Formats: sequence, C-alpha cells, structure tokens
Amino acid sequence: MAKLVLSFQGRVLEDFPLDKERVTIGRAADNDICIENLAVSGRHAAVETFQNDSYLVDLGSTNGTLVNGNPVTRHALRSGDYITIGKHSLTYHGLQRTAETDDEVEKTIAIRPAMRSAEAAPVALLGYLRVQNGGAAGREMVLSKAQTKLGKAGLQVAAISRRQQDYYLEHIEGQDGRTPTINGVQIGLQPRKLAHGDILEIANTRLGFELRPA
Amino acid sequence: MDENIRFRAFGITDIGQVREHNEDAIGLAIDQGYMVVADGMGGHNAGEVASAIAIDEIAHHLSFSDCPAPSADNAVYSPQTLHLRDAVIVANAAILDAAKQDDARQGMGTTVVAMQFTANRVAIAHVGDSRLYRFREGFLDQLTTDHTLVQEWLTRKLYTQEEARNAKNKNVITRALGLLEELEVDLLEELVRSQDLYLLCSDGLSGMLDDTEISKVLSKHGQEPETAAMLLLKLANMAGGKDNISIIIVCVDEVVAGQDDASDETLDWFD
Repeated sequence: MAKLVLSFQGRVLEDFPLDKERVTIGRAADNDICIENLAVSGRHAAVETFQNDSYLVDLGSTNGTLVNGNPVTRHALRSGDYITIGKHSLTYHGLQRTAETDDEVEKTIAIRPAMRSAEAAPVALLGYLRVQNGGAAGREMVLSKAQTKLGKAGLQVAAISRRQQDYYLEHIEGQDGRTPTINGVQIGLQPRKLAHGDILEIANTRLGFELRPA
Repeated sequence: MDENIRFRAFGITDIGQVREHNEDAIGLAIDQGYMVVADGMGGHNAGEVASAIAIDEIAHHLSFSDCPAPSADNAVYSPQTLHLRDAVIVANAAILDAAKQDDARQGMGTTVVAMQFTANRVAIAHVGDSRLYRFREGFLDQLTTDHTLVQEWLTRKLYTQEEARNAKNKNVITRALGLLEELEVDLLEELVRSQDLYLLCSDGLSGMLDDTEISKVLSKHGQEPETAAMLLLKLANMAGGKDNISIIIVCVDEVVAGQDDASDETLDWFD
C-alpha cells in the first residue's frame, strides 16, 4: 500500500498508509494526519487515492502546499515526491508497478459521489440574452431550457441549445439561406458555441449573450 | 415513433481481444426511434447482468409507460426527454434491486447512453463514459460529456489537456447506474437534419480510435450504417481491442419539416 511519511526538521515522525479514498491533512484534530503547528491550516490538504494512483489537493490553505518546492493546488503524486506543509514535510512512497497492477487499471471502476473531492463544484452559469436594437431593446430572457427557438418564421429562425454548462447557436431556417451571425460572422450550418459577450443577430434583431451565475 | 424522421440504423456489440466476457449490451427499436448502449461493470458476470437489465428496463419503460404531461415544473426539457430520463432512472432502481437479491451481484453497475427521435429533434440521456457523437457535414461532434474523473478535473481546470491524455486513472467514472438510489442523468435536446449521422459507442471504441479515425470511416461509409459499424469494429480490434466494443450507427435519410419552425417563445422581439 502507498504511504506518506511525515517528518520534521529531518526527523521521521510517523508513517501514514493511504488506506482509504481520501486522507486529510491539517491542524484540526479530526484530520487523518493531524499536524499541530500554527503554519498548518485547520483543513490544509487531502490525498485522494484511486486504485494505484494518488492525488494531492490543497484545500485552500493559508500558507499553501508545495511539492518538490513548487506550490500546487492539485498534483498527481509520484513515488519520492516531497510535500511541504508549513514546516513539516511528507514523502510519498507509491506502489511498485507490476504487470498485474497495470492490467487491473484497465478495468472500469465507478466511484460514489461521496468519495469524490470535497471541493466546491464550479458555480453553475446560466445564459442570458439581451435585445440591443429595435422596439424591444433592453429586454432580457434567461436561457434555462434545453433548447430555445428564436426568430420569425419566413425570415430567420435559430435555436440555442444547452449542453450542460455550454450554449450552442444553430441555424434552422432563413430567407435566401442566410444564417444567424455571431459578432458579424454567419455561422453556417454547424452549431457554434457561444462565449460570454458575443453579439448574435437573428432575424435582424441584435442580441447580447451573457453567462451569469444561476 | 414520429413519422417526421426517416432513418436507418445498425448496431453491434463485440467482446474485443482481451476480455473474457462481453459486459456491454445494446438496444435498438427502429419503430420507436430509440437506440441505447450500456457498458456494464462488476465481478464475475455481474457487469453483463447490469447492462442487460438497463437495456430491458429502458425498452420496457419507453414502450409501456406514458410520456409525462408537459408542466411548468419541467419546462426546461420536453416531455419526450423526461420520458427517456425516467426510463434510465427506472433501470437504475431495477439494477439496485437485482444486486440486493444476489450477493454475487453486489456493486454491479453500468453506463448508459440513449437517444430517441421525437418530431424533428433528438432527446439524449447519458450516464458514465459511453458516448454519443454526431457527424454532420464532415464534422464530428461529441455531444455527450464523459462522467469520468479525468473529464471532471479537465472541466475544473485541475488538469491540462496534456495531463488528461497521460492520466493513469482514465478508467474511473464518476456516475453509473447501480451505485446509488439517487441518479443524476445528463440530458440534451438537439435538432436533427437530413444526412446527420449519430454514433453511440462504449469506451471500447472511443478508447481505441481517435476522432480523426472515426470521422474518416463515417465520411466514407456513414450512408451504409452496417458497413461503417463493421469497419469501426474491425479497426478497434486491430488497435488492440482492450475492452468490449459496442457501436450503433444511425443514418438520417429525411427530416420532414413540421409546424415546428417559429419562435417557441411568445416574444415580440422579432416583429
């Protein structure tokens, strides 16, 4: 089993086997590896292990986490990596790779959400459209649906589809085969991914696209 | 199935070159317009039990239960998309039930990627790392986003593309049927065009062939789904066939434009 060896000023203090998916490091008493030193944050870092691979994650500590002298927020550990937390250090001793463990790695495994990192998921963003010209100028709508169709039959119709965090503009029909534009350029027949700040034109109406926290 | 879309489809699942079992399963119902690929996992033969249950339960739900009524609560997705989602959720419950009744099947699970045509759209539901691609006018577009640790870290920018390519933990998926009672299913709705090709596959294909190789086959043979699927299968096996390989190719011959062509918002923005 892989392990971390804790040392202080060159003296080895203790071995910690990485025997669960998440081993936490910090000053608070409920950490798996508790380091009572003021340079260490309450919840400083964690090591996540999946089969034979371990990953070090800094949990937003005040003084940071170094690996081989470089600050990291997340790092795939290699045997011999030297982790510095405050004035303490931890050395990572990984497993020897054998043909057998390599073969095992091929098999798909699924992890439960609880076993995943405790970091906050990225803030969900929602797309908004704001009309920039004509009588409806200033009006706004939120693009909450999987697909929103926009435009005027006979003139130009387009759809905006949501793929999880991303939005795509797609042509449906238009007079003389004209397609909607993004920042003045016709999009053609492939869906185009929208970026915050893009200006769309559909059926002669100009629309500003924005991504904002939901 | 709606008469608005005419299509041809062909599917195949293969054990590959290395594995002792085929834990994948596929389902196709041309008349109802749906296609499903499931990639099972779990000891002994539990993986193939899980994927088979998923295919059966999804088929059963789509055939015998009614589409949910449109309501303000689920205005985000069409009733057809929610119907597909519900089918996946029912399958999850069935797998958990089956696992409870047999110790040898503890911890079995499966991925699912499913699509169903509806009017001039396609509803898509997926969980895990089985994928749906669309090939349109020479351009291959991966519509689903894998539920893998590697993809998750890429999205959160904890991994660079380079690190993701070299990652050793590519096999870790973060969602699957059979894990928990609560299941989050990713849903998509896309417009369908004549000549579109859709490719559903397990990672036994996408892990062996890159997008360029897949595009090449689809652009040359996509109009003949069986030819294209058999060629992709052969190429994946030649590349090592390290996992089970499942492939469904759907070729859309015609989309009949319906009344579905105006703004569906009651917007006066475009007057």
